[in-house]
Amino acid sequence: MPNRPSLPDDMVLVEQLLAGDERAFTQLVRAYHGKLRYLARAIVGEAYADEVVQDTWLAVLKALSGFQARSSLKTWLFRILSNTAISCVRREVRSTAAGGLTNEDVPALPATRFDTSGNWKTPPLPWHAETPEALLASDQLRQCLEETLAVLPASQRMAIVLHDIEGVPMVEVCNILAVQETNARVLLHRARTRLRAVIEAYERGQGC
Amino acid sequence: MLNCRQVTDRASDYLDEALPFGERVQMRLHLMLCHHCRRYLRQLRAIVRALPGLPKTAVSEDTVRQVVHRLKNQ
Repeated sequence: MPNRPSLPDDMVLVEQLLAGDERAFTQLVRAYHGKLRYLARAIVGEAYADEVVQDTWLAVLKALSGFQARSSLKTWLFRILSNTAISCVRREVRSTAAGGLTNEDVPALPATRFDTSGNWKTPPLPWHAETPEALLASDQLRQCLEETLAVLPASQRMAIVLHDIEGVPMVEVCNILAVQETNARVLLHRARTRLRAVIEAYERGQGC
Repeated sequence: MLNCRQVTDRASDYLDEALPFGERVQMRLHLMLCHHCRRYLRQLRAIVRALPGLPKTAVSEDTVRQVVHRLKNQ
């Protein structure tokens, strides 16, 4: 992949977009289409992801003149995508992904891991890969992480994709998900705990 | 003093520096004494830090051109 020039400042880019600068559109789409599709898939599933991203770009085009830089352009795009995707889920009531928006599963760390005083009965074992670099260096572990992300309940998946993968600040994650910070942190913690449990099972030879 | 279960419940908030001062101190005290919880935190932190490095779906230049073309024609 050749090196691309980095995006200009948000307001500069928006001015170029409003002026109809095709190069600016190309830069924007190149920078965000994949991220938007990744998040769309997290909310509506593979089947509707392309439709949602397409509708999002159209919505972005319409709303562009109203962009006031109260948040970053990236967060603003994610918020529009999130609204579009949730409308899509409401339209497609038969979608299997829809249930995941409200149905939270139980935390991945079972109570049986602790004794009655709350201390470890089955403590965590050391892993071969206990650093980010080591986790990413293993094709199988990377695949475990990706497959687990794909089956998380949608709200947990959105929380972890936005916060941990895309680096969206927590306050913006709450705006996008329309939840209180306490709830967003619970979603994030459950998602991370589930990922950790999957890696732990893999390290114990139980597969993903 | 927090027990191990309470430490694991607060692990994400601790990593994100979102705990109130008192709980943060209690976490640190527990972690000084409990190597199991230190390991748990280390493993969770490794996963959180690994996530941005997961390969993203690459977007082809063809897709970029098609999307821009559609936007131009709106």
